[in-house]
Amino acid sequence: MPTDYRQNDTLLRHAIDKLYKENDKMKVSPDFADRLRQRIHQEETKRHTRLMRRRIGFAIGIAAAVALIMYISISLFTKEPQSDSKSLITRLPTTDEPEEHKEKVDTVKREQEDTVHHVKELPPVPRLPKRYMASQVKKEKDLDEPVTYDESADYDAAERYLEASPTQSITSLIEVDYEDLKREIEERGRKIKENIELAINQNDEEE
Amino acid sequence: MQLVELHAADVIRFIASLIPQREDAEDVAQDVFLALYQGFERYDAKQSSLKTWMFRIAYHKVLHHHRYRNRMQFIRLSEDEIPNISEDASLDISDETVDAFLHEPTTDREAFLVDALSHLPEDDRLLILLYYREDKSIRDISYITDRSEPYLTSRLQFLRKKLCKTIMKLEQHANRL
Repeated sequence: MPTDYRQNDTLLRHAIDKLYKENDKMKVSPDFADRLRQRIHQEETKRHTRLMRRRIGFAIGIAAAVALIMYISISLFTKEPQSDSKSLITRLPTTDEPEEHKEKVDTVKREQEDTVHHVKELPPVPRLPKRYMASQVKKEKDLDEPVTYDESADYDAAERYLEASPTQSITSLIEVDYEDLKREIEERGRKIKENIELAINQNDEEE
Repeated sequence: MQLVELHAADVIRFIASLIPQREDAEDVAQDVFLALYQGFERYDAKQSSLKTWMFRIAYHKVLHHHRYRNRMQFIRLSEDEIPNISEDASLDISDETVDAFLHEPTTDREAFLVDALSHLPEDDRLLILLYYREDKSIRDISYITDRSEPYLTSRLQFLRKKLCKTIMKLEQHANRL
């Protein structure tokens, strides 16, 4: 137990009292408590704001983390499978199955190459000989059968039909009696033939 | 606010003995009561009285104030840096002589002692102040200043002898004149 000097050191106590005599006269300012109350209020507001910011930041962080996890999981589980050959080529090999993957890729590549070769090796389309083609053309020219159908007659008939009934629509035009039309065309063809024959006879006579 | 009304005067007086400017002392006192309000749940009544706890906060706030203001007058040396009694050969005075010297109050000696006290380093003056004026025990001072009790006891002995020696010298000087 250390000695208590306070009872003995009267001189020292007197000297200390004298030294701090001025401090004893010091009184607390009347607005000290009010200023302290204001400061406490300010500090409480600051603390509350800081706490709210921290909570909001925490909530945002949690929400972002959840959104990221959801995005990753959705993108992982909803990925559409690609076609076999493409996915085999494009998919990177995992460390567990490098050999197997390589084999599959090689097989697919080989199959593709074979297909290309097959297409290349197809025999060329045989071309008809020139002599045969010339004979065919000659045959067509030598045809001496009477003309039974003239294409321009179709248009004439159609025009006439439209003139006779201009209010008729195009759809009604389709419903033309083709037997009549055919008969008319044949008749016209016959007339043309007669005219040609007449013209030829006239020509012969002139000669 | 009741606490403020009860202890404000004591706290301001204690702070004012370490910070002479009244406005600064009041500002630090405000910091002390604010820290008291914010950290009241940390107060342990078994460890110290409320006033001692307030003084502890005030002491640390004063240290912070001095560091903040970059005032180097208030230097808090570590315990190893401060010279001990045994290291100071000039303080070879018996305890009985010191007891007798500091016990007899005479007007001349008191004036010399006031002068000697005002020239003490602030850290030492704080120890004297807490011990003699605030009647704090060595245990409480240890709690307030974060110094060990053995150090404070030996430091107090050293300061008594030093003050005694200073007064003796001043008296001898006065007698010669």
